Amino acid sequence: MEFSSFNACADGCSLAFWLLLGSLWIVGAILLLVVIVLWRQFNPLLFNKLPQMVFKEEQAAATLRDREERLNLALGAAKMGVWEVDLITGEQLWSPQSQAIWGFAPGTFDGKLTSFLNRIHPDDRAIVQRANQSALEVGHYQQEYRIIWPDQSIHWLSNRAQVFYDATGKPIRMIGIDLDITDRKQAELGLQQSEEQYRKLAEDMPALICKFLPDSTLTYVNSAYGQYFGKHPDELLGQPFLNLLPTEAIQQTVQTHYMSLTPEAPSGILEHPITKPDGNEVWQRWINRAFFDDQGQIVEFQAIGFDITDRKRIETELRDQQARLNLALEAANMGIWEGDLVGTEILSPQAEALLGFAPGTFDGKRESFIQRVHPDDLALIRQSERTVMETGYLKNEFRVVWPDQSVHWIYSLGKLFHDGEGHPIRIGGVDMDITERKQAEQQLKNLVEATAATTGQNFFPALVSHIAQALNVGYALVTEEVDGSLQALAFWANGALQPTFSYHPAKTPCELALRNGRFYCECLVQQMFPEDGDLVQMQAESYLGIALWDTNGQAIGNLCILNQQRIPNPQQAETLLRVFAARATAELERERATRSLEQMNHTLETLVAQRTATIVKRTAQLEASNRELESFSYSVSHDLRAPLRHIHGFINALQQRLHNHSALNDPKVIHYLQVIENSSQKMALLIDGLLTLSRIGRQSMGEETVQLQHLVEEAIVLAQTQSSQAQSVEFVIHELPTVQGDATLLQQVMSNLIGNAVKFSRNQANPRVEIGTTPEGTFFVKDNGVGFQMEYADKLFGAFQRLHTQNEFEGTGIGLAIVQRIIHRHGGTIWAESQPNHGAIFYFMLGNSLENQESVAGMGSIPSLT
Amino acid sequence: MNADSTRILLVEDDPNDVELIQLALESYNFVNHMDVVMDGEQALQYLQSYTGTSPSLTLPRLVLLDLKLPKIDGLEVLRAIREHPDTRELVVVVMTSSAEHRDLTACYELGVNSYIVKPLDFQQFISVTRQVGFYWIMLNHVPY
Repeated sequence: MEFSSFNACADGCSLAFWLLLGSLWIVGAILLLVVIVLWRQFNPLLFNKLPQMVFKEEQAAATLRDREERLNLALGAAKMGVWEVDLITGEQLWSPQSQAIWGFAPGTFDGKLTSFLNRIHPDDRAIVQRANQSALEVGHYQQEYRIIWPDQSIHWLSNRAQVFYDATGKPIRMIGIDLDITDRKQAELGLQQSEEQYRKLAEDMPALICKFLPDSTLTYVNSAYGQYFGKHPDELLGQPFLNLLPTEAIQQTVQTHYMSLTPEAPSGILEHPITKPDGNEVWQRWINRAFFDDQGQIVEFQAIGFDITDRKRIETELRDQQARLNLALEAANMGIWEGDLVGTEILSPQAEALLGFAPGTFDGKRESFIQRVHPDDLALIRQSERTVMETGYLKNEFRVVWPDQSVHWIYSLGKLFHDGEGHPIRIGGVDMDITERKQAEQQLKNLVEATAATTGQNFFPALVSHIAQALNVGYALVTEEVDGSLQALAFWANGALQPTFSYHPAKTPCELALRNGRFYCECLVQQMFPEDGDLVQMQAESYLGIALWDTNGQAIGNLCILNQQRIPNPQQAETLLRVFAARATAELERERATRSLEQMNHTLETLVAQRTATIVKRTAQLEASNRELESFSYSVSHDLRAPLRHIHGFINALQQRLHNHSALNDPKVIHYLQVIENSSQKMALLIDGLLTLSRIGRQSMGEETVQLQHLVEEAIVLAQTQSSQAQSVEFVIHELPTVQGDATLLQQVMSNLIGNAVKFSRNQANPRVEIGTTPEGTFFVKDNGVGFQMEYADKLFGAFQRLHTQNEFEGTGIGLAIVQRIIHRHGGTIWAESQPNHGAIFYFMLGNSLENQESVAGMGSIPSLT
Repeated sequence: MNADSTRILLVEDDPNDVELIQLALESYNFVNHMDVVMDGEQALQYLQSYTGTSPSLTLPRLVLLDLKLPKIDGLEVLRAIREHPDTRELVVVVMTSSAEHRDLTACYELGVNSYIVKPLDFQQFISVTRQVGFYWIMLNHVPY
């Protein structure tokens, strides 16, 4: 193996050095021959030891001097010395150059062998002597060895010599040249060290390193190379590496590549796949370098290879990702932009397109971008420029105006990037065209605004007209299902509202929409529903309908659109229709509710009017009755009393007149006068009772909180003042509640009931009256008097109804009628239980509401009076 | 205006009542004279004759007024008395058979001096009538 070339590669100068060195040796050999010839010819001149040589011609002498000078010059330039040894005498002749080479001052070499030998490096002396011996036999001599100068410096010599023989073959003379090769030796040493270092470097390099011949025969591989191919370097050396390549095509490529290297371009890079011995396909990157000879012919190559499989894989992935990203960006109509913070901006082609720049025409100035921004959105952009510096993020929706004056909406998303030290350096992001979305939003907004404010009759026309316009379709229809037919609530066609109509949904797309909640026919709707003549008339191609489902899940109509082409953006259309179907449903239900409410209201109004008329009539009758009753009782109170008073007055006057008259001696006269007087008084009591009864039915009632306890106590005191008999009655009063009612009237109730109890128990030995409430809250007044037979209980509360004779118990028979009327006016009831001679209990309850029987009570007094 | 210090005007349509009142008051000497008219119209004519053109004549000291009267009822008579400046301060005592609430209210609103219900019992009637006469003629002072 020749490795020196490798070092030469590593160090470009080395090659030149070796070439020079080679040339020097050649020159040296030639020079030796020349020197020897010249030496023999001009020895006397050179050494002044041959005075017998006489030059007769001046010309020849001059020429010789000239040659000698040149030779000295050449020897000096080549650091070369010449010497001669007389093998017979042992005398040595050294040229001054030789002496200098050996470290002798000029002329100080004494010509002795020992002086010569002493200068030789001790380690090399044996070699020199052996070489000398051998030279005598073979006729020439060549050796390199070290000498030590007096200053102890070591110098390398190259020594060549030729032995001359006499006719008998006896060596008589040896002539040689010395060459100082210290420089060369040092260079060689340095080279060896360098070569060693590089060799180690090459061995330790993870890269694959090899050298090979033009036929690809490997002349060197490093250990990494061997390991890579799973072989020992020795197995690979001498083998053509092309066999390691997987296909002929690649072999061809590789060979073509390295053979294409020229002295002008000696190195090149090639990447190619190979199949490793374990079957894995990997990628390699090779740096090939060719070495040339003097004729420019390729001598050898070296190559450094790297496994770039990972890089290739990442590259592929990156490429795929980039491709996918590009696809996504393109699909999303998205552009990428990036800007530094000083006004430079880079736009991807898509980003350029979004801003209305022809590809490649954006000049990279942010100001050029700013000029495209809609004037109304400039403030927004400026604001976001500040925001991104604070938050690190940017999110904008703004308009740009293209050179053709068209306005486009851009959605921009960006992020602030920082350098390693955290300083913001650039902003990058994506732009997206959201014009369609914005238009859709605007359409939706228009639609919402147009329909939000309208209700009732105006809603449906507004709905269909805006839906048709928002969705850019020819027809929009909203219907209500009425008895199996569909009644159009509003119909938009040909850019205008049309008169409404009614149709049967059977075998129309609306039937499917109603049944399934939704029906979409992308195209050929006429062919699908051949019996639907309306589709033909409309020249409809597509249909999308949504049923209006009420809260019970019943289809009550539908909302549909039709178009003479396919429906643009059907998903969006459906979303929109669903939203407005819900709204339309609400509106329709509201309208239906309103209609039914109106109907109910109408019925109710009629009913109320009828009732009101009846009530007005009844009220008028009642008022008339009341007035009649009032004037009647007024008359009664005035006109019926006056005669009674007169009867009473004149009976008294008569009695005074008859004072001392004989007629008064007749007991019958006295009796008759007494009867008349009593009857008139009785009559007065009856009239007062009736008037009270009547008044209680008519008079307005107070509603106050009444302590029944107090009323009972007052009633007892009253009874006791009116009748001495009451003072002997034992009264038992249980705890009584507080009630709501008219205190005066309730006082009357208590007085009457307690008065009755006292009256009807006066024949008892121990009269006892008990007042309280039952556990159910019913009031009762209980006595232990004469009681009554239950079969007459219903007569108790009738006016003038009496169950006892006047002789047994006095009374007008009006008290309990008054009590009952008062209880009734309090919304309550009263009843009684008794057995003859076992006392009586009167129960009553007060109702929750007062006055509910006023009119009845008022009317009810009439029969009592007639 | 001058008033006869003991003269009474009785406005009463029922002769029986007139007779009973006269019976009650006749034995009392503080009543010099009692004029009786039988309806409201006569009552007003009676009073007009004492006003305006005949200043020398004097008004009765007391008017006993029934409410239920033919033609013009007692309340209207009372209203006319109170509305006329010459008779505004005349003492008017309503004596009637019944104390109907609306009558009481109306009379008091019109400025009646007293409201008396004629008692049914004759002795009481005599007593009340005499008390009324005594009080209003003998005890009460009038501005005229």
